[in-house]
Amino acid sequence: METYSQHIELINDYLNNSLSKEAQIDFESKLQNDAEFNAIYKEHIIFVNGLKRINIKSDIQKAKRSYITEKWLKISGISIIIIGALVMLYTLVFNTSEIEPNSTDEHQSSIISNNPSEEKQASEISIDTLEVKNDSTASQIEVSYVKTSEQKRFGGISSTKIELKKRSKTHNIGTSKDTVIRCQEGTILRIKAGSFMHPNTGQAITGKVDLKVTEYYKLSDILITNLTTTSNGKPLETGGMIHIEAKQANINLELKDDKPIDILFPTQNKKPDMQLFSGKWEDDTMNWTLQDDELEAIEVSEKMIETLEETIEVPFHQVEQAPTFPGCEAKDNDSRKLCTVEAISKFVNQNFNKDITSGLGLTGKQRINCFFKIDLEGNITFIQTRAPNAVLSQEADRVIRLLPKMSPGLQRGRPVMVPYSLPITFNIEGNQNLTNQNSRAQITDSVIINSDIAFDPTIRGNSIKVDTVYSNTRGIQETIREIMHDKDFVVDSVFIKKWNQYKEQRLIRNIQLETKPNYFETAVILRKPLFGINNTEFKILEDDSISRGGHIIRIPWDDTKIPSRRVMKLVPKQLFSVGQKTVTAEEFEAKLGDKTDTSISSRHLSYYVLRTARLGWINCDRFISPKTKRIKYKLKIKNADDATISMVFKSINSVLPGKYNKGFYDFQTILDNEDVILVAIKRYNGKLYIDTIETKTEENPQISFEFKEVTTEELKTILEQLNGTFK
Amino acid sequence: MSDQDILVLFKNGQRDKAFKKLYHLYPRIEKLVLSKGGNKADASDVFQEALIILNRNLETSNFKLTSSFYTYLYSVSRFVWSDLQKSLSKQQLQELNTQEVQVFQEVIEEKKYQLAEHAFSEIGKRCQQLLQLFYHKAMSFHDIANVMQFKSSKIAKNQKYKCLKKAKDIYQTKLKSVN
Repeated sequence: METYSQHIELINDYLNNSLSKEAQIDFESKLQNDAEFNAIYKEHIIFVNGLKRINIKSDIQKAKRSYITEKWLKISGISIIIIGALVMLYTLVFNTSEIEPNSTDEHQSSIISNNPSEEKQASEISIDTLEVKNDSTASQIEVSYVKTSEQKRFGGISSTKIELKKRSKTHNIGTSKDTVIRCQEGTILRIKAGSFMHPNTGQAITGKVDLKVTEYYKLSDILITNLTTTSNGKPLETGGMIHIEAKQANINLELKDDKPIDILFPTQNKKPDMQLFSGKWEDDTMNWTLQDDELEAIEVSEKMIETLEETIEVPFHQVEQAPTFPGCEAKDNDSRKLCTVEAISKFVNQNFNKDITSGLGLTGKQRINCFFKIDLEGNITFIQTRAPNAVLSQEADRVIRLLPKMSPGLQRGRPVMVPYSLPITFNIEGNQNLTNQNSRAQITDSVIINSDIAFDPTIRGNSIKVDTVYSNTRGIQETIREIMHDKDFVVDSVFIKKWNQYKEQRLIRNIQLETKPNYFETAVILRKPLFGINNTEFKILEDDSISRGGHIIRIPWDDTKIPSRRVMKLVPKQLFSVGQKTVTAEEFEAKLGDKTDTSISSRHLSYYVLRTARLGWINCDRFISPKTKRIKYKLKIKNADDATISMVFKSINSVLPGKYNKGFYDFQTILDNEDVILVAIKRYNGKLYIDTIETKTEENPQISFEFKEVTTEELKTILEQLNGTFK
Repeated sequence: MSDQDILVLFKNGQRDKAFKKLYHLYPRIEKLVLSKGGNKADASDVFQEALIILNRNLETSNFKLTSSFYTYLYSVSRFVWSDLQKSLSKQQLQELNTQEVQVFQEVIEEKKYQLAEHAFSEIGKRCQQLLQLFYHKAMSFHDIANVMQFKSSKIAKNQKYKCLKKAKDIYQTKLKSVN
């Protein structure tokens, strides 16, 4: 210790330049030769610099404050002048300012638009709008225009019992409470209290807000609005598009960043990888761009471990009020306990994929011991499973992670952490029955395993009200696979525990490797003992470098080789208040929803639950993965006359635009040999023409349209006949 | 105010004034961070970090500002943000030119200092003050003992070692948890 402080003293003197020349040279040679001393020196430099930061920071903070005050003084000065100028301007040009809101109004109605685009070609939208704008100097004409066009268009629609008002419905909502809106075609919007802000000032909006929602699920609605499903030229498959607009006193509001809206897109056959896209019209074609899904990122493991340390734990059979599985509420504690135990076992049974056991060489009775905790918020954490084979425990991990969020256990009225253990036992040979025994409740339950791994909320019927939330995640599982250079490496909770132990023992260490001059790569040192353990999972690979001590230095795979996991989370439907009563979201929806509308029953639907912080055009989509051959598709049409041609795919919910260019309709690169319907609509001399052709995609297509003149109603009918194409 | 004037401010030790002038560049840096998906608080942090790195460079004698302050701060901020997001791919790293590599290394280096700074923030006010007086104000232990009311300069000296040791221990554990 003494030498250490001497070292430091010496270093201080050196840094202060208070050493004699000789001592200085001495010092420098010592730096070069004495590695330990050098390390101390380097560390000390870091410290002095770290200390310096504190000073610099306080200077910067001071500078920032005075910069900001200065700026504010300027701004407030300027804004006073501007306000003065505005007041003068307003009094001067009173008339113009009256016209303005009218024209925005018109613009609005063209956006909400299944309206103006209805029987119009995209290319003509602008013209029509222009006409209206000209008229709109007198606001009455504008209104009557809209009215006639509504009547014309929706004459057809009313035969399917949907009226204009239903289509783009305005909901008047308050901003002081969380609100759920169930829209006409099943979309559910969940809006938090105080979500809206003024677009310019960023100030929160209070009072009532008009929310205009238009839904596009039906192919006919999509085609008529000339919506297509591409993102920068790449085809998308849609799970529903909507247009949302929030207004207060004619000002278009925006959402606050931290108060996104949950959008539930109803669907009957759920597909993975659905994401949210925002849309913009670009040259009459809707372009969808992926919303950054930062909002969705769900943090894993580490947080859970943190909260774990400070909380009280009460075992399941002792806790005063047991954690409750969604659907087991509103009973006395004992039956609630029993119901929860039963539900957990049932859930695990239904979702445990027994198919994974094939090829493992396992026979006879298998037992997986599972242990997890239900945390203060009702989340399942600290999952540990033990099984004869790691593949089994990995599967058990997966299934338990799927358990829906419960209501937490309470002890003396306060939420507590509740440990829970659950043995899964089943036989591999013989019949296909999976038997689960829960020792505590003595429940034996046999359920036939569904080969479909995904949990299907409809199985649960009405007993459990859950939403499924998808998210992408990377966690320790991916990190381990990256290091093991194996994308299928079995990572179960047992292995993760071991892994963390190794890290603690410094058997696994991260280092920075200078692979090229000035170029650092993250590498991992796997120390020798790892490879000597019985049944070790660690193998020396070809690309590994071996240090002199026999340790392995390995550069992990990058994340492109280990795909992110798509995680599904089941979240109980939220509770909302109606007056004094608390009801589930579903009950609330029922109150809001139109009871006479029997076309969609929300109980039979599952939803894509996605979150947006933006309003406007929103699309729930996924990219179409290019499994099959792709070709360029160009159509030459003689009598096109500015028709719009859209390509509708039969196998996927996708509509592609044909871009007109020098006599050709270019659909860019598309899947080969797909069943499609080409829908061509043109408007010529005030008349409507349409033709639809079913075909297969191929290179150099030879197609000619025979345009038939139709009325708007006929057009609607023809398009509605196509609706079956979209599921 | 030109870059030259700002440099003069730095040279004359009027660091806070210089920083205030440089803050006029902040809105543009903020735009950068916002466009990369950060929020305003991120932008403020990134800019602060860039200023610290700039200041550190200006203090070393061999540093020459080859471009404008804006260009320099912009490139530093870009790296600070990318590093924060861990968004630089290996490919991108390889494509950096020497100057950018220089900047990038400064950013990495600064991160260590940052860690040390965090360590200091955990050792307590009095310890911090003591170390600041010694290293920053370059006070003698005798003076420090006076200011901080230690009984003797020897106690001050002892205390200083203890504080430094404590900070280093915290730093080491932090370093481990980072790696």
